[in-house]
Amino acid sequence: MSEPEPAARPTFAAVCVGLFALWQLVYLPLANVMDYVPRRAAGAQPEVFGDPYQEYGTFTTVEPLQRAAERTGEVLDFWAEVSGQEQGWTMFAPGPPPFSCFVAVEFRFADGTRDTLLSPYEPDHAKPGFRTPLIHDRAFNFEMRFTFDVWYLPNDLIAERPDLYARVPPRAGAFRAPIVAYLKWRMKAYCDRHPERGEPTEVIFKHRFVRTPRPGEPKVWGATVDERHYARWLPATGTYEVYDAVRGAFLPAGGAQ
Amino acid sequence: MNVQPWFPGPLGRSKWLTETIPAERLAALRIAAALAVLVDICATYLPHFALLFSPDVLGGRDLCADRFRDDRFYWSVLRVLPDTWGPAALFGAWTASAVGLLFGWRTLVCGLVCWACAVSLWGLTPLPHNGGDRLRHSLLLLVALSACAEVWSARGRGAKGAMVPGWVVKVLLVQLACLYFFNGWAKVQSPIWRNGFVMYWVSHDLAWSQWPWGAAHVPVWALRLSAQVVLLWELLFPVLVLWPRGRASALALGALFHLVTLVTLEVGMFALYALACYAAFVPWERLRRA
Repeated sequence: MSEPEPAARPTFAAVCVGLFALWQLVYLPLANVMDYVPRRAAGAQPEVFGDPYQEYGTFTTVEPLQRAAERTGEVLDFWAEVSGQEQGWTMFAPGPPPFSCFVAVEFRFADGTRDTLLSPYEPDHAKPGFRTPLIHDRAFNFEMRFTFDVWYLPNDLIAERPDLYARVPPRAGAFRAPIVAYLKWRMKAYCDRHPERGEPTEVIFKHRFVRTPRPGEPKVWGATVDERHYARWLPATGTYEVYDAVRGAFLPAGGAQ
Repeated sequence: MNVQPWFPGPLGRSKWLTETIPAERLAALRIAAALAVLVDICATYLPHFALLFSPDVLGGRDLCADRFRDDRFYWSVLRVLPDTWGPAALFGAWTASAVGLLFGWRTLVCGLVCWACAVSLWGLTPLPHNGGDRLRHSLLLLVALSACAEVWSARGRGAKGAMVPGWVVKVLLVQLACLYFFNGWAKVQSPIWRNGFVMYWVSHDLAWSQWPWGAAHVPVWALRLSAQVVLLWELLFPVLVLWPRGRASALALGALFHLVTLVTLEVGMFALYALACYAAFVPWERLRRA
């Protein structure tokens, strides 16, 4: 057996590796706990590309304690971002709603006609087939990221909980760059398929809520399909607007924040 | 990098922290991590390379510019490389370093390059990524700094009975325990996780289930039971791993869980990176006795 000899005087490498190991052993549990300790948001909001697992607010009225927790959180955030080891694990929690949520793009033309391009991941509702693991995952994740903010917000709750829907337009505004990139890509795909239609005047990003059959019901998906706008892009001017479901109107993206 | 780490004071005498393990375990971890990265590159990134990394489509260094504001520490080498050839160069370096890791060649350098390339992709844009990628970064960082090339590497088969510092396995175990426990904690707050119906809804979700039509033929009681078993396993994982028999059961159930979710749910590389972590816990050293 050739075991490494314990060094009488630790080398620089041994000290570095030891400190790294200890830091990881402290960092991993602490960063997970810290997600549940409410902290006051720092910097410009909404922060769509930051840590989505952090709870915001305050947990105590004792200011030094609150501040100490926030400073600790900042140190943990630094390591999380530099090393790519953000913690926060909530896979399929609290759980999917009784409908599937997809994105879709609606094209409106100068002659008053309109057409919708569904997500490549929205299958045939009558008999959804098998999707091969891994191959689609990156593009799928890209699209589905835009559904997270509305996943629990179907159309029938707007009147009951307008406060929840009021949070959506600022988030859609902050997503401007990736959503416009996505809409341009989908518009190109549509125009390549329908060259006779020409360029649309409005390109609308919308969500589709496809009802899931309840346990015991016949396995029929999409008995109802609700749609709701999320953002609108005008190719001719580059104007980007976000949809306010409570007011039922598009607003300038900047004005929504 | 076969370095016995130095720990201050009484920690230096802790058997848990300082014990050595058979070299095959870290070699297997290295090989599993490298294979997972190569699958990730070939199966998940390359089919969408032009789409996700071209500035004319869904790529470009400024797509998620908010991530790089002054009070944040995200970074990516793709922010300094040109959009025209930067992503291709990065994938070239990533592939080469993963192959280097696979064969155990200069594992410190290859491991750090592999980790830097992976973090650069995630740092540039979180949109195509998920939790599996965050696990990937922990795994690659640990592999880079571990004594993972003492056997089964470019150096040869290695000395029989070689032992190496085992701290990496302890850190991995803590990462897995945190991952499962906090997942379980988030789930146990939800009534549909507690009553098990969550697995009905997720397996019938047209977006997240990879075969909802197949799930429709599984009895609801079986789906509910599977959700409750998963919930219990996740919450109890940190306790189960405290003794050898419990650890073996927890890891076996975990391997089954990850294999099933890989095939049935759109979890992407999360399943494979988690399974790669498990390679460090398999008693590969028994192979040499055989």
